[in-house]
Amino acid sequence: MTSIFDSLIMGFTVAITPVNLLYALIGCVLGTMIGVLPGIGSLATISMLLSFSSQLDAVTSLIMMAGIFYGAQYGSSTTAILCNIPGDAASVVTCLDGHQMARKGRAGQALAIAALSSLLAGIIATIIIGLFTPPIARFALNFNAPEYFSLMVLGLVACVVFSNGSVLNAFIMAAFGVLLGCIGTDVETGAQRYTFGVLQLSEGITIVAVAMGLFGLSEIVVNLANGNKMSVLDLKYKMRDLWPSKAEFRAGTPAALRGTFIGALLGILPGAGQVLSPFASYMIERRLSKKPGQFGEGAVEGLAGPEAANNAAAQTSFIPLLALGIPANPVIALMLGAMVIQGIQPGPNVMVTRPEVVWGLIASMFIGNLMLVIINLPMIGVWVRLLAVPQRILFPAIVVFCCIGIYTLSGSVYDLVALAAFAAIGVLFYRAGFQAIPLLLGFILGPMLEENLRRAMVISQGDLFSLFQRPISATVLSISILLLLMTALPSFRKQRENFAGSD
Amino acid sequence: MKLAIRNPLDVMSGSFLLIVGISALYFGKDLNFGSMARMGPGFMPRVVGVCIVVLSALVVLRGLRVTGEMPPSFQLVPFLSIVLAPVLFAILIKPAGLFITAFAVFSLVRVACTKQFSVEAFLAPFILAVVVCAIFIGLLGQPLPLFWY
Repeated sequence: MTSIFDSLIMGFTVAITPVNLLYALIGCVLGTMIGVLPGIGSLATISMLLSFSSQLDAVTSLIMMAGIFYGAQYGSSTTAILCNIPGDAASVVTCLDGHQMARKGRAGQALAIAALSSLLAGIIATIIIGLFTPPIARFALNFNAPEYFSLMVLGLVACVVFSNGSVLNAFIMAAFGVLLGCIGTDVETGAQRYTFGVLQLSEGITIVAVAMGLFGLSEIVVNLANGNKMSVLDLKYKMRDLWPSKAEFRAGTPAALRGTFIGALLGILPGAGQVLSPFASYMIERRLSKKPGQFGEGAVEGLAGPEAANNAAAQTSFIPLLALGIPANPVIALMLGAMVIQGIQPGPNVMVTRPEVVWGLIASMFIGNLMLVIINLPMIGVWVRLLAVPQRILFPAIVVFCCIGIYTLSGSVYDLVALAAFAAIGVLFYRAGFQAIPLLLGFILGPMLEENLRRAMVISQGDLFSLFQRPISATVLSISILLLLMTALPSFRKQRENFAGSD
Repeated sequence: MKLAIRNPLDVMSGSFLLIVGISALYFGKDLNFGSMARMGPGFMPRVVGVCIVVLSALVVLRGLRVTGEMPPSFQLVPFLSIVLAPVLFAILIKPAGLFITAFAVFSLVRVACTKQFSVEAFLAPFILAVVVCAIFIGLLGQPLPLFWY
């Protein structure tokens, strides 16, 4: 156990260097900003910043991206409470009771409860990351190609099953993503695949163009097509008193603790764990409450629990990334991509070979969560005013920054053309009911999937069923198959549609 | 059951993906498939290509059998202006430099955001171009030309 303590201290020495503190702050501020602004999510922002982050140190860039990711959770609850607009799917629940509290003149307290619950959850979840990542990674050191192949299959299947809309569509998008991941030079044989003699294609399509086009630019187009949703603002709340009352503390604290553990558990699961966790917490709090009638009327438990669950899940979704190199959600998948860009081979070995990256990132989460409470509570007025920045200035500026970012990455106009192509693909497919997230995951996991399958088949001399003869890969593959079979069940289909509808 | 196009979006997207799958198989036909024990570079493309062909055929079929709701009309201006923005950037950056490129790209995207035309239409892109040049050339020292040369 002492080693974890030592590692954490080592992590803190990395995280409190001025550069890393600065980028943690930049990440938290940016995250809060995009969280407050409806329409632009952390996925879009991180995809746009991928190009800039490659010029930073590996730890520094991961610290910044992580800051954006959990900073957005804080920011989106502000918009949810004050404007009743969920900044992302996970903060839909925050609207229910948080906005009602604000309506009743307790906006400041609602914001404080949300921020403090998130802080509590963030700190506990970070301790959980520190405790559980090393043993999982140690266990995973015994993993071989078959286990990795199965885990990646599970990651892809979970993404397909839990994505919105038709499972068939999600499946095709995942396959399309894997196909796009094949473009370039085959690592094993050096064969050129689909490069058509174009030199720039031999290194493959850059993940930056794919992510930025699919999520950054196409999200702007979709926002513009949907019209301006930000105009409905009611800012007459006063921030006289931010500190919650004793009764609110007494009701909120246990709810936040329960939410933390629900979120921490769900966050580790691949697929929709993070999006589900606030809903799960809300349902549990309502069931446990002596006065369930208060829910939806401004119940403190209904705000504190889901807020904590949301943030805890965002944090613990780093465990599979750090311990196994497997992304639990699309944002984490982008961070995996960032690690690859930085020349880090994701997997359990990262803990051994680059401990400063892992522990620096974990330590920065403590610091980041503290920063976020300070950024969010006293400075709330600044963020509220941000909602007044017109889209006609915000969106063009974002597009210009994206173009410069991707151009400075390689100095190649091909990447800009790829960016345009993926923006078009993203918009058109979104319109036709195809989600881009499975495509991104397929694109990132595809090459690793191929490499591990290839190695697994070399080990077993081409016996596909050998994957089912190893206990771990057999279990993981069985779970994947079960998940797929579940989508055929009518009751599961209905649940899935309901869930997608509430999104 | 008579076949008719009941969901044009499904038929269109399915056909497009069908073409993607078929071209993946066609252009990948020279890649060595290898064997199960020694997977060649053509293994994955072929497996995925077949998957795409089969599944997108199902989507086309679905479009012919299940009626889908038509989403609101497609807005061409935001789509074109944002998709073409990186292309405009690619065309301008070498000959015209960052300042003019940033100004032009900002203006192009602005067209999609507002119909309003005032001093701001000139001032906003101008300020952004100045800021962008200051950050990327001045502060970060990126190897980008400020103006043509």
